[in-house]
Amino acid sequence: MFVRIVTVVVALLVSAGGHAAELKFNVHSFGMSRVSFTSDAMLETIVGTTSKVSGSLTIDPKKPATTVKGQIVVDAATFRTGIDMRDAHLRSAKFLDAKTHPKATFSIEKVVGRGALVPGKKLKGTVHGTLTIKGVSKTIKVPIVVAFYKWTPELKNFKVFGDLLRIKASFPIKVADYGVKVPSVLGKKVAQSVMINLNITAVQAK
Amino acid sequence: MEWLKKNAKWLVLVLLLLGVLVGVTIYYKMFRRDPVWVEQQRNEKKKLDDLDRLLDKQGDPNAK
Repeated sequence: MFVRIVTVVVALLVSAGGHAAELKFNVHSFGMSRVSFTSDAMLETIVGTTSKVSGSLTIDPKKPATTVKGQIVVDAATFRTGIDMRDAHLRSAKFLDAKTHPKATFSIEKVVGRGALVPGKKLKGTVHGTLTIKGVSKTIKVPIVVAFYKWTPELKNFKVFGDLLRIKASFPIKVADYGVKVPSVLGKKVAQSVMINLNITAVQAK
Repeated sequence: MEWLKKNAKWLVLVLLLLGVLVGVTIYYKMFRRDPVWVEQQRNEKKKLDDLDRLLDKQGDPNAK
């Protein structure tokens, strides 16, 4: 009986220890995270960007591949392309329908990659996650580069006040997969396949 | 008809001016990117590049 109790206590301590190694990071929403898309069509290249990005990630830096979980949330209504009229079209029901679906999300479910997150070292991997745009969710695989950095006083200049993760990813999506139908009139101005670029800074929660 | 022949020169000039006006309006509304936005994008990109440069020093053993 005593041995069984000791075994259970040890198991609980080990699992608690494992959980304690997981760190929580919040996406830096004050201009240090950017999400953009590039539509490279025959007549025009359109780049839309937003820095209204939020979300959080939990990760154990020693075994990032098996422990990472989180979500990146983008305010769909805040994408800007530099032309007001085009931005209004982008927000409209034909494209992002930002009024009905104000958020675009990317949920990270699994990472395929090797190695630990050592401060200053970049790790490459593939994220398996769910991308939701205009209320349509699709499971996708995204090549990603992630790096973990320790806080230094110089980072105050960037409004960063904790250890941080830098996450970068670029991947193409077909807009039709997410319920965006490009009108044939605009076919040569808007591409059917759009490149999404994530440039995320996530700061450790205190 | 007589009036048209007499004022054709002015009519062409007015139509040309109208064309230029419509062209400039279309350009400004549909093709010209807001210079404030362009500058803002440049600054945001520069700030992120500066952050990466600073962080890269952590990964560089030769950096001071």
